Amino acid sequence: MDQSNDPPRAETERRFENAIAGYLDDVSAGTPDPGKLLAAHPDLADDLRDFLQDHQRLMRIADLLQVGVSADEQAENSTPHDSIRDETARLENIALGAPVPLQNSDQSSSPSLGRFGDYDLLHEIARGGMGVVYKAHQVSLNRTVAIKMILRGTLAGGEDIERFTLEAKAVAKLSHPQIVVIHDVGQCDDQYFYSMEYVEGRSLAEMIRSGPVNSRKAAEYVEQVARAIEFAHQNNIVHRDIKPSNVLVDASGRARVTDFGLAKHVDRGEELTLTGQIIGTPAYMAPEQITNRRGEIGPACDVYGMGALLYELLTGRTPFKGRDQFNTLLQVLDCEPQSPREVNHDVPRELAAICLKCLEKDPRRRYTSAADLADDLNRFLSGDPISVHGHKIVDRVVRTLGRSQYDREFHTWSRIFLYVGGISLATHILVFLNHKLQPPHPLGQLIVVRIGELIAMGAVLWWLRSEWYPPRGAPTRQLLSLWLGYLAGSTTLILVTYLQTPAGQSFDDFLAYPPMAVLASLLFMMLGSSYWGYCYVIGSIFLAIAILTSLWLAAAPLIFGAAWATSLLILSVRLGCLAENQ
Amino acid sequence: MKDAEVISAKPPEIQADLERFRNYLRFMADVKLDRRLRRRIDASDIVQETLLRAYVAWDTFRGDASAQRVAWLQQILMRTILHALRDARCAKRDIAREQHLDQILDQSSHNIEQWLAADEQSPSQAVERAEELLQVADAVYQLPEAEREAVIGFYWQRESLADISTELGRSVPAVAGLVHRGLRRLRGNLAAVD
Repeated sequence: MDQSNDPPRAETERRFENAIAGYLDDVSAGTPDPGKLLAAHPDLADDLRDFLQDHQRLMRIADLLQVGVSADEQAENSTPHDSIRDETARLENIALGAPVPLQNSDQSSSPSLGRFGDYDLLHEIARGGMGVVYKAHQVSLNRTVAIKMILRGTLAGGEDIERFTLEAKAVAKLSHPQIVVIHDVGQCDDQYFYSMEYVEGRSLAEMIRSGPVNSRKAAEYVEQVARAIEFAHQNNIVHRDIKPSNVLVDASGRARVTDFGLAKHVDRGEELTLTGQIIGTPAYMAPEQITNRRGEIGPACDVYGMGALLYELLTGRTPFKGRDQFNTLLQVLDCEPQSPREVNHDVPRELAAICLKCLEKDPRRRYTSAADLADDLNRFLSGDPISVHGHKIVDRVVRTLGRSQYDREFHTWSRIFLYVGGISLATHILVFLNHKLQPPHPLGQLIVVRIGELIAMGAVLWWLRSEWYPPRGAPTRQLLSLWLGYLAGSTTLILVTYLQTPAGQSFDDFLAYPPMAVLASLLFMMLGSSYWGYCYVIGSIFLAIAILTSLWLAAAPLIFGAAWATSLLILSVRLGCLAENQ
Repeated sequence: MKDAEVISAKPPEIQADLERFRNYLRFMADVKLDRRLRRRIDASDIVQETLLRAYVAWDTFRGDASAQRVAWLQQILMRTILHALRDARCAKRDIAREQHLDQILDQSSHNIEQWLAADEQSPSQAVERAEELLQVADAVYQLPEAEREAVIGFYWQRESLADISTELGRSVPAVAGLVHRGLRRLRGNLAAVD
């Protein structure tokens, strides 16, 4: 401790230390009184204020961040929790510059946390995201409100404030029985806040914590939410962060939507995406929100969010849950959700279907609007047939056909398919001409053509090797092996046909075509299950071609060659379109 | 994604990563160990031993979040402290003087055993707010020793100024002064935490 040579200064320091010591003893005894401290040493007021602020901060930190202390030890050693709260509250008043009420002798009459402009802060309701929410009493209008503010001391600058005001402005425009009303926006000292309707009740998140909710109740809540969201959509506002903690249930059992924190003005195209960061809660985010494809983020996101909400209400857990946030995001993008019915057997079939429809990866396959979802839920609740169940088999077929995977891996193959298609066509035309023109050594020329085909394909693959080599993963390897298998098979097929020609007959290589068509069909069936549903259609067409060519053998190569070329052309074009959309 | 890097790190990087936690472990050891045992048990030795054990057992850790890692290290630390306490208990030298310390040793051992038992029953999947705890520990360990002792003693061990003054050998107002200066130093460092 620096011993100053200046006696008055040392004296002041000694007084200061004694004052603090007295105060800290009071803290230990559980009866801190900052007002008394400040009153007793008015000349040291500024330094004491600083000290009190530092002290309060550390009390709060130590309280929140207990270092491995068990509950028992905490009870033994520490000052009673309430008194810390009270002290903090009183100190917050000092921090806020408000007049400090002298300590009441009766500690149990829990006073307010202090004044905040026109409001009397009563107690904390929730803490999360970027703000704390307090229950407060608005003095001028004599009513109870909820106040959301950004924590002091963590004012992160422009971006947070911008998000904050955008949220308030967006929601202030909405007036709907199921949406929590915003009253006022502003700042007091340098504390930003907004006041909103105080809703007495629990959030759905709290309800879920005590287990899955009754199916009918769940449907009712989500229907109400859907109507509220539809209203927001009609006002060009997308919520983008629908989750259980953002839906409150008030005393009369009605759902109220809150926290439009990520609301986006769809019409003005304002977007608040912090660079590199994804805004939203991963477990409830729609796939297009994650990949952030511009133009795709819209009302469909909220439909997805409501699907996730319904899912959690019915099963007690989110549709996707990974080890960490990143893993969860990956699951949202790649995995199909387990049907709610499988997780909770009590979930009615129709409700599960509605839920899954909301959770479709492709936004176009979900409900077109929140209103449609609400209507379907309504139908379910009334016992009427819902829209999802209409054409079960057809629906499944269409789904299967439309399903595609590994688009990303194969979009570079577009050109390869195109050239291979051309080579294939050329080869079969040559085989046809080979027969027609009756050259001197038909077999030899056939072999030449075939070898030529193989070499040409090899050349194309070599030339475009940057697009597929080294193979990115199992899908590419699988495709290559299927292709090689097909080439080996078809070549062997020709050989077998040759060997099977009865003695005396000339070798008719056209006979190999029907079996080759069957082989090709098999190839496409395999592709259908792994990559693109419509390959099943192509596979079926090749079966038909097998029969057709065996009936009309003379034209076999042409038919076969044309079919192959067309199929590869289709695949090439499709991959090309996908590539453009990447 | 720092945590992913931690898991696949090679030995020298493991050491570097463990260093991050040194202050926090020291912090925890200082809080958990009764000050009167300081003469017998050195907190920095405990921390060093903990880090060595953690280094050896690094691959057995299943989990990938920083918060889980902190919980894991906490467990190792507590066990290390427990062993040290038991060793100290056994090594009696001057019987008369040690009587008093025995009591404290027993008490401390008991507390730590309870902690470990509670931790095992409801395994702390992750320490809440681990990142902030680490920051706080770092900030606190930048304080000069006396101020640090005073701050940890008052705010985390919830001792009275009188107790702290006895243990540090200073007058009560002096301890208050230490607290005051410590708080002031922490002001800047802890602005980011809550």
